[in-house]
Amino acid sequence: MSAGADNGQATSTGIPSAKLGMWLFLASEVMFFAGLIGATIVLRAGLTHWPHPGEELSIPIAALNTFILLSSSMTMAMGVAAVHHQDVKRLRLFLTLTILLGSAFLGVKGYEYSLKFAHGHFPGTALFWDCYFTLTGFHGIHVLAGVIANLWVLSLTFRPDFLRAKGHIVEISGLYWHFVDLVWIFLFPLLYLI
Amino acid sequence: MSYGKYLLIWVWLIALLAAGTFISILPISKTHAVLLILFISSIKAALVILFYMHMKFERLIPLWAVAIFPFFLLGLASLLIFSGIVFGEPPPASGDASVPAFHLTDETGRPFESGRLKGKVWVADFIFTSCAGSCPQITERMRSLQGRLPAAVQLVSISVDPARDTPTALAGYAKRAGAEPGRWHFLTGSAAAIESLVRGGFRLSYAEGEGPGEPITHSVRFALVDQQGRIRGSYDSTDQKAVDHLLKDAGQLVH
Repeated sequence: MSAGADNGQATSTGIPSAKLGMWLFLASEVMFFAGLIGATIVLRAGLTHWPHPGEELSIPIAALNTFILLSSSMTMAMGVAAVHHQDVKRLRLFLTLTILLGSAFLGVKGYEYSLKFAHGHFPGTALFWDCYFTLTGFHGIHVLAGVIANLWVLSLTFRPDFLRAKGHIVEISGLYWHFVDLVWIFLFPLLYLI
Repeated sequence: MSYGKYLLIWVWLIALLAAGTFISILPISKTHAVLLILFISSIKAALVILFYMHMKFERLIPLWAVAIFPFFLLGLASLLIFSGIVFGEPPPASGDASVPAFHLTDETGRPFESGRLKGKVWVADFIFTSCAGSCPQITERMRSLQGRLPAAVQLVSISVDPARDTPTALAGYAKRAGAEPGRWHFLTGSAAAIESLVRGGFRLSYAEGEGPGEPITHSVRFALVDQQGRIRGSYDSTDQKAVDHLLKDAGQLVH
């Protein structure tokens, strides 16, 4: 590992503080989504009617979005590898790909929402739709935040001396991005497949 | 890790995505599908955490922490599958009680007397509009009853928070619930009248909160009342089998 990749600072925990901070933040995010997912499961367990897979929501659209987000996780991980290889050109390429894939996810999600709205499905029309819009809405906001964070990191890469001074930021931003992917890995089966 | 290894992980992730999606359309039992799909999702999550998030290479965070994920999900899955046990309630007190005469107000603000339901089969439930607990589920089930019961069966939702549930508040709630006007009634009245009706008439639980902000506890049961005002049964609204039973009993009363 290069000296720039973890900013080289020794800490009492043995983990760079910025990275530890991100892990702690992600732990709180797990609790946030666990609450929403738990509420959905309890509501579902108490209801007579819950749409069957594919009855209300489109599995192909959601599978496409899962494909997009999983791919973006790969390009993000490759971006972190580019930092380790001190290759700023590839880093920019992979960050750009991650941003484009994240935006594509939001575009597909927006298209899916528009289909639901056209059928008169809004938050407040049924408990299923409340759960759907709450979970996917909060997840969508997280995706948007990740895209913005990666845009910011991309802009930083044009500073001279970025890799040595600030290279570890790519890994921190990447951790957040993978978490957003992880949440979707569970939302996809919960809302669309089972 | 090299780019090639990240690509290999991606191939696995996509293969698992395809497998999970494919399982959802296979004609296997719901239980098996839920368990398999959640199992596959857990593997996907583990791959992302271990390789993309580099958890495999972080010596300070023990690997077993990652293993909690699948167990957590299996717990959730079993809750889903065995929800009948989790949400079960003891059987209701039996007896051939009748609903006493009552004078309440409906969501249009007009008086509503028990006489209006004479000669009709009706289903009652107990809710309040500001309730965030079980009421949304009860009301959603009542809505599904509205669609599945014969049109002759009337529906009556009685507010157990009459002080706050004005006819206007109930009218808004009725609209959101998709209630058919003239068939599904929402009733409010004096606190004493409601309490005696719920406890004395329907013999269901009802307790007001201790102070402001305290929740009102009330029954989650549907009561089925026949043409003569006799209570023919009470059914746990959270239990699919009990609700099916209610549909059958109500159908027999009408014919």
